[in-house]
Amino acid sequence: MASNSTPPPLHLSTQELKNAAAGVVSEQASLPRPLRSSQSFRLDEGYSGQETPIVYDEANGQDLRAVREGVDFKIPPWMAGLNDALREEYAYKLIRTLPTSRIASLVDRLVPILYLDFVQMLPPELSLQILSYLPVRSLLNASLASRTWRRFALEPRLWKGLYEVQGWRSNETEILRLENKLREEPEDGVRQQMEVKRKAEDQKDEEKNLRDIARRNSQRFRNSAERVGVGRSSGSNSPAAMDATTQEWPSQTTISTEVDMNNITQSTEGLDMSFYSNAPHNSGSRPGQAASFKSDPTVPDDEEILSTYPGAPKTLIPQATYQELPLPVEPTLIVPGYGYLRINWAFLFKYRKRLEDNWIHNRYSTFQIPHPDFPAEGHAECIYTIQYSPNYLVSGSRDRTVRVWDIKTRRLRGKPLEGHVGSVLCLQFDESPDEDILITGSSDDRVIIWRFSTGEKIRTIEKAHQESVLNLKFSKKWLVTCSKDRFIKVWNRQQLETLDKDYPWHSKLLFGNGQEVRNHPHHPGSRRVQAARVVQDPAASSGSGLRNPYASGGFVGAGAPPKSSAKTLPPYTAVQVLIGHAAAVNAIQLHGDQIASASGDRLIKLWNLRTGTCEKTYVGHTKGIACIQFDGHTIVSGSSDQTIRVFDGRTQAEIATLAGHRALVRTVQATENRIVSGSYDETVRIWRKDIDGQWTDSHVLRQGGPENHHPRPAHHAVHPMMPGNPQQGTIPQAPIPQAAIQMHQVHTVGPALAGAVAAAQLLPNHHHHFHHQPQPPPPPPQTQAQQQQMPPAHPIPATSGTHRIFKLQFDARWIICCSQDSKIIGWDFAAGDPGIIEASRFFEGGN
Amino acid sequence: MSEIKLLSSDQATITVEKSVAERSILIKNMLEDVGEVTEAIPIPNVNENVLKKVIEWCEHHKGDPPAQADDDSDSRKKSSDIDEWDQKFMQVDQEMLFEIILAANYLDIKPLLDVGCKTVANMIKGKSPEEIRKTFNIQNDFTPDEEEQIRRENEWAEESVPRSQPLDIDEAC
Repeated sequence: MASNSTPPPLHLSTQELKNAAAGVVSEQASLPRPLRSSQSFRLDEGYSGQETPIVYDEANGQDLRAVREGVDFKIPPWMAGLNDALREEYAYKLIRTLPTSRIASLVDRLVPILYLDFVQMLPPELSLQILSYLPVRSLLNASLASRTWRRFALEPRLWKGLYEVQGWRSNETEILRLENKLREEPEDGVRQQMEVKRKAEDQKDEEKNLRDIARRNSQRFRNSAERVGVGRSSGSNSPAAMDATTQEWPSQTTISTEVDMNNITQSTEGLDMSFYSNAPHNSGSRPGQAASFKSDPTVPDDEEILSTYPGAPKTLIPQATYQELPLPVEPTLIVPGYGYLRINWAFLFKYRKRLEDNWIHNRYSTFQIPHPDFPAEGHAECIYTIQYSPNYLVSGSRDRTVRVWDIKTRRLRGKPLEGHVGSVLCLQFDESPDEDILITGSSDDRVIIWRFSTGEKIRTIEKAHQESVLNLKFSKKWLVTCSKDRFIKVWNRQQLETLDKDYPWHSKLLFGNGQEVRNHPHHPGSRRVQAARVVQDPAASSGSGLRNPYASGGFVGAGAPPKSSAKTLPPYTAVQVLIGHAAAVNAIQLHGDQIASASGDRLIKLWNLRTGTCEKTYVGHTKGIACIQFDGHTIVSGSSDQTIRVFDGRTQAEIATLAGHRALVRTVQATENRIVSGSYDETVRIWRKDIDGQWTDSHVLRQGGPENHHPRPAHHAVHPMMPGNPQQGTIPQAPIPQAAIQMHQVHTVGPALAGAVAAAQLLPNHHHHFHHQPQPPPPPPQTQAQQQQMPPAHPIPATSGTHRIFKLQFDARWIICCSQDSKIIGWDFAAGDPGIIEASRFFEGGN
Repeated sequence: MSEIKLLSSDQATITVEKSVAERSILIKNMLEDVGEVTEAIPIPNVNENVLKKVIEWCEHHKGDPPAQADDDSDSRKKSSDIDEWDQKFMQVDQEMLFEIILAANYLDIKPLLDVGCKTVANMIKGKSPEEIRKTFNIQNDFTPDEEEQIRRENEWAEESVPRSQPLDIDEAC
């Protein structure tokens, strides 16, 4: 520890005096160099000789200015030579000689020394990092501190971080599209855009000013260092090292801002940090610093360094550089950025918050499809399935047609698509030009593949299943269908050569006799090797086998199933049949190579699409399951037992049971914070996760409209699910023997509900033939146990029977659902707010 | 245990354990590039007082596991989450606090930089605009009219939430 008591001798060089004149603090080298360079107050070390003419004692009638001008305020060298403690003591003694009023004014002058406006001192990145730790309200309060603070506090990157912390997702594609457009646009001559561009330039200047401040700080550091002679006496390499740091600022202004924006638009990961944290910049300059540490011939002398930064040490930065443009009071979608326009996340955040408030307070407007002015465009019968995208909605109906709607005009696009000879029960579409596809499944056991843009039939898979195709999902590579015939089938969407890595070597359907499953699914490599060895001989001998990653395996292993039948698979070949459910498979969800399936046998199963094996089974529902969602982590399912259950995909634990519906839960969709479900009780329920992570029944919507309201308890209990939670039995209901209920429900197929029976069987039915209904298997022991505790089913509510919800989809802004009615109903939580409507296209849409 | 010397901007030589000094990525990389060093390494941006303070922090944290690359998003979420020792360590005057932040930034000691920035953030949290101005000696350059307009605009964040509060923004951050 170097001692404070031996300060270097004070030398008042010319440089020092210049510095003093320029407002650079002149002080002992042993003093910490102050950061202060703020314009919001004047530096006043009390003894620097540079004084702001504050007339603070008019009452005494003294002209202090005159006093000051007349007196040499230079601190006598003997005093300046004293150490800190002694000078402090002297100062204190001196102050105590003053009347209290003087002391008070002195305190006023000293306070600014203790309280520092860091935004004006730290490099902008560091100020932004500080602000990035603030919650919304604090950040908004900070935005009221001053104009400069407001500019910092409204920095879009901060709000992007806050947006993500809320768990809100965004439509990356749309954001990317706009960002890209913004980067091109300043070039064209639209006046309004030029106006914004001008602002962008100003912003750029302002950024530069901010960097100037930072540079000045760095400069101040160096300046002090020089005064002490660090640079020279220690081999004069240090200025260069510092140079590397200080030079970063100007270069960032001109070059790396471009890079910053690239980061933003091209990768959404970690872009905040690349801005907030200086570490990456440091790493960029590290080699230079290290080099200059070793070798110094290139080190410029002081003058060169100073001239690199003409603004820095010798000239005061004029107050005018802080002249800021007025920020609009309300945020706008687009703001000036570093040289070009950016999406304003503060805007997106604000309106996303408003939108979420509308969900919470149940504020929405409703709409219907078909447009009320064009009722003839609508389906003739009830609608079993819908899907929508930002542009289109597609519906499939009992009238056997599929209709494509323009979601903005709510008008039918083209003619209804005809092809099925039974009810259209499920569909999925992808309108993107590289897919341009619509796939539908029907109770006619067929799957039809349509070209989305034209509505032309590309292909029909006749007899895709033995019975109704109840659900389907496709990805780029695969189509998965499930049926009342209890099977799930996987179809390839692209032609598969035997050399293709996706070639279904593990398919029992194609090659197997069931022996393959003996191999553990986590050792696919070995099996692949076996498979490939057998099949690829011709290719291998012709040399193309070199491209086969599995070709090097060696010899045929004993017991490998015969693969000699392997050949090129044309698109839409059934490559897997997943067998395991004991009743109709009502719904599936495809996630990567995983398929989650929900069946009338009360079980949820998780399958590996490649191996065709069932990896997990989820037990919990006490009656058939009608719908399922799986996002890779969590399974959410709705059942005829009137509950929605949430399962942890990995541990298979039941996380929550959501009770409230009074009939079969036919459709469900979930995001991290929200579940929306539709039921045969004719309601749509919105559930939300509260801050404790508990799901709460939030709102009930009725497709039939308010006139159909049945008075119901506003709030239904949600049972935090623990195995055998006795709380489950606490719903006050007259206990009915479980078997009796089941009997009852089994026999009420028809207009009323069936309990253990699959949802699909409840479809109003003129062409379903299900004389043979597989009996649900005896539930596993735990289920039995749970069943004892389950509250008996509610009596079936007396509903009009015309608004049973069949399918719904929701996103940040809308819930759209179809039902027994031939109209599609939508709830728009933008509720007419133009800001929300403008912002909402950047929020996540649908699934 | 090898030691190295650091030379502060005000010419004070500080001897420090190499492993401690290497909490600074800047120094670590320098040492990797130059190999053996006998003379003091100049740290021209940091004066003795601050450098000592920084070294004190490095010494206390020398056993810390290296920071994970993906720590950032998590740490951002809970800003008040500062280790007790660090909280005490950061109880310094503002000038020292900002000097530490600058030094941590210059020396590339990310965990210290984060702690410093969080400390400042906590000084802002929960304060009214006026209190923020006082805390950091910020001059209010809004006209009363402007201030009122902005205050009204900021009310969008205030809507209360019934029952449980999934969107309590202050909590969630």
